[in-house]
Amino acid sequence: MGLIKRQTENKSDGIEKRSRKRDFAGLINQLSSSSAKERRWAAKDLASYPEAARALLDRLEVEESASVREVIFSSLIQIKDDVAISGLVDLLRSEDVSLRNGAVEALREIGASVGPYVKKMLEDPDPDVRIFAINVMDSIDLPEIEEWLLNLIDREQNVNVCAVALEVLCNIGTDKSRGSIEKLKERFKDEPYIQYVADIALKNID
Amino acid sequence: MVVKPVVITDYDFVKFKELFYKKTGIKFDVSKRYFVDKRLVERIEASGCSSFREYYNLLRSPEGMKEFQELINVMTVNESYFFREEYQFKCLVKSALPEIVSRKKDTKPIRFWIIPSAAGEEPYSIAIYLLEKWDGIDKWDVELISSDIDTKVLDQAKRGLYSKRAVQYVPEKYLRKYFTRTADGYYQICDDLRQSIRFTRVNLCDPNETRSYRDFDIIFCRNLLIYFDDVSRRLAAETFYDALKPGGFIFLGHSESMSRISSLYRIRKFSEAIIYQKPLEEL
Repeated sequence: MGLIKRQTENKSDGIEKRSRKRDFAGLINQLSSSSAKERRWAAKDLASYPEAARALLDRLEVEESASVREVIFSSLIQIKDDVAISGLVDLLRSEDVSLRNGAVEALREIGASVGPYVKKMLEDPDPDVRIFAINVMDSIDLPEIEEWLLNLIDREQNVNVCAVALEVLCNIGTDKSRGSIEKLKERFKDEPYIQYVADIALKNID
Repeated sequence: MVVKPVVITDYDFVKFKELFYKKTGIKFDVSKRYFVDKRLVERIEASGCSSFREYYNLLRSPEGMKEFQELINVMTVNESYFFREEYQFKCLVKSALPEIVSRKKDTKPIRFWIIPSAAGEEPYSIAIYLLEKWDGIDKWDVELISSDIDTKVLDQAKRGLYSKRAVQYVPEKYLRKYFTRTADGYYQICDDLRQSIRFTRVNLCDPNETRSYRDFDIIFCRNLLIYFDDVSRRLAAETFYDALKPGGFIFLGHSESMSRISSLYRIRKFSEAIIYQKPLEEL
């Protein structure tokens, strides 16, 4: 017993590389395989097929394996076309917490190109969806976000949404945020948390 | 004839970093501009190209594969030394390996994947540590595979020749046992250890290259993910998930955390170190 010795020197390093690309139809079929391992590999390989976004999103809705879900999210992050981003944004409305959190994380990782999509979510009638949209904005580097959040807090009635928006403005707010933040403080003067975060945001601007 | 010096413009830098990221998962931000420009100009000149544009087109062509590997070799950071972060090796022999052995139902070798290999300091340190500090080495076969994207350091690793600085933390008795001092002051690792590690070239960000890396009990991936962006880290975590056996362990660098990258692993807090484990049951 002990350390196993190398058999040969430089014989393709002993580990085979796969050069053949698996076919699209076969991979789509394997997304429904009974083996989680097969589904995971199919999802991974589908990252190089932009046309797979819809099938990956559909699978996500029914997929029960956390490891397969994670790989599907990664493939959607890599595809990051209109279908993938719109589908991820729709998942912000999901009742399934892990799907929703996975979608927030994936949209954050895609970065700036999700901006216009999440901006639309700020108009959603469901305050939770508006909060998730702000959660995504928190991590993407886009100069317009400050303005979008100011437009939101100028008219937003839900105190929780305003609080989350203020938390982001604490980090990105510039002098142009001052007026809207002060008005918000006035509007929610009986809400101690709003007062607290707004003061931090104003202090950071100073 | 006056040769015009090669200049890397802001636009060239952006084009280069996009291409390099796409192929390797390694991202350079503006703070690395000087580092990148210097090496890029060196490679442009060495390849006989006269401008960034010409070199960029070469890199994207099938004929440019060899040059791309040269470029990877100069752009990657490979500094390491023997017995770096030794407390993790203690954790390996005192906590991780006893757990793996207690679960084992076969007599197959215990498999290690050490990535990046750099110039071999890490895999050889692990080999020495196992031989010197792990009782199980008498009962179990151990297979060590170590990979890197940089072919130049892989060649150095296979040669096993080190400076005094690289071996400064190796205890004297191990230096005497496993190394030979060369006439010019270097330390040559013994043939027995050189033959015990299989060095392979692999790009961690290419699933076609990593697919066959399977059934590992232990992975060491220390101080590599810090050079990746969030997406590449996430893909690397998924690659390791597929490469590990259920219950297998992964060791990351002291400033790296798997919980910030992926929710697929269990955090294991041992008295020597925090490491990460692929769950026994498929998630």
